[in-house]
Amino acid sequence: MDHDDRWDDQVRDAYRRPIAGEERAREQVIARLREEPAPRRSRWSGWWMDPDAIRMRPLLAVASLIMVLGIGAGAGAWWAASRGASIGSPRSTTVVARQTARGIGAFTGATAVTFVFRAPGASRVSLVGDFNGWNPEATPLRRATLGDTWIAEVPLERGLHAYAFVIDGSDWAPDPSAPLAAEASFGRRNSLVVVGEGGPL
Amino acid sequence: MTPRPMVDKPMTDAELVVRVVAGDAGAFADLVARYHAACLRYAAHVLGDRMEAEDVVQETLLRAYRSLGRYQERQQFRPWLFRILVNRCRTAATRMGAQRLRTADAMDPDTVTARDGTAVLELRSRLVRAIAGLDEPHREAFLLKLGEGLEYEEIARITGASVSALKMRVKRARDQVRERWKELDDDGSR
Repeated sequence: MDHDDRWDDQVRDAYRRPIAGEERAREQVIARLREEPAPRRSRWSGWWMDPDAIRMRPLLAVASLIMVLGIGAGAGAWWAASRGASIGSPRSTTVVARQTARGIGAFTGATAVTFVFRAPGASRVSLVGDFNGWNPEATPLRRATLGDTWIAEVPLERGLHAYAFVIDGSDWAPDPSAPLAAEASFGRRNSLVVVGEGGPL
Repeated sequence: MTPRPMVDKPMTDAELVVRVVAGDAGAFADLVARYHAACLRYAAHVLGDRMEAEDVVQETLLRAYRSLGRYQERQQFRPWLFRILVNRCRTAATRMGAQRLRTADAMDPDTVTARDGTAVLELRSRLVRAIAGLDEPHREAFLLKLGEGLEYEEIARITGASVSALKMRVKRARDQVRERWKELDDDGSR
């Protein structure tokens, strides 16, 4: 190996030393990418339908969501009444999700949506979704008086939103009481909620 | 997400691109894992500012992701991605103008805390200072060839320059950087 080659190797070595913070920067890129719709062509579009989130005929998808959320509304109302819980923002008038083993679902109003999640043993819970850039720091849930139950009220635009909960900063979980997106985004399954204009769907 | 087949051989870039376009958005995370570090070190050395480099790389990968559905050169993902990166770096360099910082401290402040921090910082500092005197076309050619080890044909597709022009740029840049490197070495040994 001649002197020139050794110098080239030295320069390459200096150049290729890992940049500090590379892993954190990469995670930020991944988080930002989660907000993006998948890069494929689709003839379906509109506020009521995210063609990249679910693989169904759009009208069938909306009908299914309405049905699921409608069933949840009754169960959720029953649960809220039976526990005497005072949950929901002043603008949130309708309960649209049912209680399950872990999650209690999403209560949607015309603009304010109350997310309720049950996480026994958690020290903190946050909400991530397309509405907050999938940022685990952006929307922390507050612990309700019920102990294992965590709540956040979030104003949402009308349309279909994907979301998930983050437990103790690292464990991502979908809402077990809400419909799941048919496809995982970056390896994780997300939940879906539909917000309509003038009232919940 | 569609389950990926369990195979020993990692997927090629082209296979991952096909999966992303077919609806497996998570496959793009594999491409990010594959190329993020290379994009970041290139941008950091060209711009001399790590934070600016992080922004540029994020923008580059977002643009690549959004454009993937229209992207046809699936066998040539790396030069395609680097073409976007080089263009974003050029735009950022113009925007930064005289404010561009070309010191290792601004580029990589956390490195001093590494176990071999002194050596890392010293080497990188010398490189950053040695390439600081190069104009943009020469710095691009030098880093893509000597740093990234790309073929001239790839660099030509990335930068838009001809192979013969690139060979000339790399030679000139190499001579200049080497001279400066030696000066810095002499300064450091005094």
